[in-house]
Amino acid sequence: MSADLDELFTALGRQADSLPIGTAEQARDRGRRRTRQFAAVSVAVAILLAVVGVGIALRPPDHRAVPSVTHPFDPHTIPQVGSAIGLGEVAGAKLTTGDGRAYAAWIKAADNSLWLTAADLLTGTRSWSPRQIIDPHRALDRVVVTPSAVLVVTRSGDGSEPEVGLFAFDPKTGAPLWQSEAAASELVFAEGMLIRLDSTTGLTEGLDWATGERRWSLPSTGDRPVTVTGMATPADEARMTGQEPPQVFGDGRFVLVTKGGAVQVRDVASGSLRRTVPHVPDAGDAVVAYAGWLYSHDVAGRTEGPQRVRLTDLTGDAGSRAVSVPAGSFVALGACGADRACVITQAGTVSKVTAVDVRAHRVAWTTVDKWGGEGLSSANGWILVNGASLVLDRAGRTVYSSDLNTIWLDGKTLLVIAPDGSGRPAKLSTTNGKLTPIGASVAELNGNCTSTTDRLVCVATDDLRVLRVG
Amino acid sequence: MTGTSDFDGFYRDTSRRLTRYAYGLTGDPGEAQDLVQEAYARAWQRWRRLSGYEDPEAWLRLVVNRLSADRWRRLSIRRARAAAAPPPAPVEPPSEDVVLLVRAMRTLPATHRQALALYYLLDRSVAEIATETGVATGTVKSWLSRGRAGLAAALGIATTESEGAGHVR
Repeated sequence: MSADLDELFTALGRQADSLPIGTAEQARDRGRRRTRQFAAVSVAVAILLAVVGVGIALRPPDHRAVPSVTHPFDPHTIPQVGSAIGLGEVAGAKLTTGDGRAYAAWIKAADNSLWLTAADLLTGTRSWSPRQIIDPHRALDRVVVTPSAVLVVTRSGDGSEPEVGLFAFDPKTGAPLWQSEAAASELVFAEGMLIRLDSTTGLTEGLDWATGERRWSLPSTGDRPVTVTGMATPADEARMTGQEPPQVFGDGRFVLVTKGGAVQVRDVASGSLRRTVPHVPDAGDAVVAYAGWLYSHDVAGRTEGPQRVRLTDLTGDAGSRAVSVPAGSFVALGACGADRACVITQAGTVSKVTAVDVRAHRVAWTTVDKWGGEGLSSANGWILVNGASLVLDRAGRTVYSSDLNTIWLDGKTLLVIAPDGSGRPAKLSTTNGKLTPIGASVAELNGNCTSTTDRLVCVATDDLRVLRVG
Repeated sequence: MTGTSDFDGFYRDTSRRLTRYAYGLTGDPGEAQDLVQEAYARAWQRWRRLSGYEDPEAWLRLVVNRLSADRWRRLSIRRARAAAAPPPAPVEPPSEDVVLLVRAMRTLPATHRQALALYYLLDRSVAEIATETGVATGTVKSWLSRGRAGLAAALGIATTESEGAGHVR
């Protein structure tokens, strides 16, 4: 064989140059499909956060630069609690917080092994030693914590079955509790039960968080369930972090949508049926259940032209009605405060955020999002449109706008970057609009952070760090 | 530049380089093709914003970096592609040298692969790699040095280092 690296890489380059690649049109089509799929995915899948780097944070808001370019971690920024917890070089990570601890599941770049550990938020020290999860064939999907278990979810991305891996540990000690595999499934993380819908058979079952044992099951009958979601409530806002609504639902109800268009409101603890409400067939899975209402994309799969959001009363007698929103691609759907559903649509290069008054069945307001947002979340009357950052108040007025990422520290506070052009990140209170700088700058943190009211927890290149922000 | 024609021009000007980079990182033709299409799909989603960046091609490489890191754990989007598009055209089988180099690259940490791909496949200087990855030039030199050593070990041959590119004897 040839033994010169230049020659070897030249051969590799020649091979790469001979690869057929798609056309720009195919890439655009794929981008449109991703936008369409995001409406469904955004309901269930956490988005990685990117707290942008030193070089970018030193620029004023709205400066257009390459975002998220990796910068070395700068320890002289926001005060760190305890010492960095070594993880080895990290290829990917997911985090969550609960009960005074941060939980990090991560993939070691060196050997692709999957691990879980926990850190005490008060002291920044490791709560228990890392636990290895033996699951070499699936990707890390998320980590979720309830008082009974911290659960690592893995998924195969290539269609191989079983698609889902579940690995539960004791949150206090890290001791393994149970593990299982499952076919392609939708999962709802309710505080009282882990709910799983088998996407193929329609079998729905409730699993005990502590033991993994099945507590109830609902075999699919003729009209099989195709979508399951938890019931979000305003109380969930207190657990807001990152850029999405909380993963764990505190309400005692969950919702099944059947292929035939029925909406079933069921009890989390027993699976028993509380109510059935007519809906629309093939509504798709871009659905959000919030405070007794179901918001859904009325025309599943429609990517262009007129768009409607369907509002279905799950507890009262208001029925189900559709409201037209601006035409274009349907990008995202979410709850945005009491009696408000918000939707992002994009026509050409113009992206719009529209709030629908749920009880009045009409559009409350529409505003242009110059950053082209990809998802939204809401707490304490404010709405965060992520992608870049557009923060709106309940009336649709822009409170803050930047092409740098903004995250929820908690249900009442946002972490914004360089609001005054100084490069200093600040906390932005949704209660009084007050900005409070919290450090000299924020370093690139490898795109993985979670937070509480006074702690920002991030995975850097090769360690886990707890930062004091309150 | 904000429209379809601008995006298409950007694609035409940069896609071949990005394919080189993706292939260098993954060593898998199918993966590289898929990564490139996925990166441009994401670029098109935010093209209005991205087109204003100083270096949108660097943003694409960042996307490929992250996607390829996931790929090492088989987080494949091939299923979606298979459902939505015809399979790619057949590819000429790689030479023995390429196969061996790809195998060797797969033994390296992601940072070393990234540095080697930028250096050898995209002709980036150490300083340019340092700027793109946000680390000191000394770190880049270390990545390259350790990467070359790792390749040599995996290929079962000895190495000598020079200021620019290291060579394998």
